[in-house]
Amino acid sequence: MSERDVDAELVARVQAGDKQAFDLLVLKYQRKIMRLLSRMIRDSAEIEDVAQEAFIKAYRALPQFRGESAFYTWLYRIAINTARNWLAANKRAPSAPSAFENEEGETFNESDVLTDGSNPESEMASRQIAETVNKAINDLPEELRNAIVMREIDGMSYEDIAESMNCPIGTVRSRIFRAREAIATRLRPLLGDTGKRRW
Amino acid sequence: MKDQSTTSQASASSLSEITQSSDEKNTSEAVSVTISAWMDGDEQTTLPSELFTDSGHATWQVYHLIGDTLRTPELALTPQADLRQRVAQALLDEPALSQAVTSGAPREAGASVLGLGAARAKPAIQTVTPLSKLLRRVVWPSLAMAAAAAAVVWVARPLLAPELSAPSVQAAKANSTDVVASNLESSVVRDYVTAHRQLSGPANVRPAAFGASR
Repeated sequence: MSERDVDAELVARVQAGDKQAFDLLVLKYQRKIMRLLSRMIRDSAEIEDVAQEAFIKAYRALPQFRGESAFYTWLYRIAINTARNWLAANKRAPSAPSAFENEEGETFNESDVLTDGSNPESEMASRQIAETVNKAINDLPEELRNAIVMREIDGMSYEDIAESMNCPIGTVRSRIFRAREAIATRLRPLLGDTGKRRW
Repeated sequence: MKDQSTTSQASASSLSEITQSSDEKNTSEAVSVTISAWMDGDEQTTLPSELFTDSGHATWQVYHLIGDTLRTPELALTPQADLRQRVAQALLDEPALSQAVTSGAPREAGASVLGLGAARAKPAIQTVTPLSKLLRRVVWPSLAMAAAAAAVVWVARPLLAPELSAPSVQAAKANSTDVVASNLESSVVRDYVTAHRQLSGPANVRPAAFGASR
């Protein structure tokens, strides 16, 4: 199972009428979409409006989504088209297409930046989050750090990590969870999350 | 004595709270482990129902934020809880997609997901079976090539078999000559051609248009 399969399962649930599953897709991809749109639209409130419209369009178009491409690739195209239509409707200068034709929103070249919806506060918050994550990961015990790096950066499956670390899959599952929780514990105060869970 | 009783009650209450707190912590941890494993596509984990609670959303969000930040520091963005709420609010009036799905072409995904239980639901994506692979790679291209060859033969047949087509061509030629001749004999046409020649001169009236060269 890959990340694409996880998305496919959520998409299948939405297609079967489970609107709540769409919430998870929004939560998962909102940062990428917002970041993508911030390259095209300057105002952060307008970015949110266009992001909302893009997600709603994606929801409506989901019955036609057949899974030939990854869900994010498909969502990315919808977001780009929504932003272009919005720019045209609001008579804003269209951005150079070459800057946005990249499939993955996070791989943009900084030199291509035409607009950026970030402000000093959000820049500061982003820097704090990045620093906190980096510091937390450096403070992890080696086996937890290796496990989370193999999973999140190298994209390895639990089976491959287990083989690489010479331990059972259950141990991998536990290590990755403990690594995430250790990082999340430091992040939550920055996100205004108390960390208290009510399941 | 009363003090002792109060103290023991308090300690029992405290113990109960600790036990309850410990149980909650264990449950919370078990759920978080499941969410963590499921989002990584762990085969042995099923989608936890707790993922659809506020706490589940928060855990899902912060775990993805960690992954995004590790891969791309640019994505170390404060999560927009408001955006999810706005989208969810906007979708309240939307019909559930299953209605659209059931009214349109039959889809495997819908049926398989409704039975989501112990195992992962079958995704909506097209699964590539050996049969479909064979159809896509061999059968359809072969049929397309055969159809193209048939079309070429159909078009080229008169050229390839002149003995069959010659009489009909000659007959058609004779018929067209008759038509031109009869047209030229028509007084209306003759008057028209004469008038045209007077206006534009004989050079501008192409004889071939009337079959005069034949």
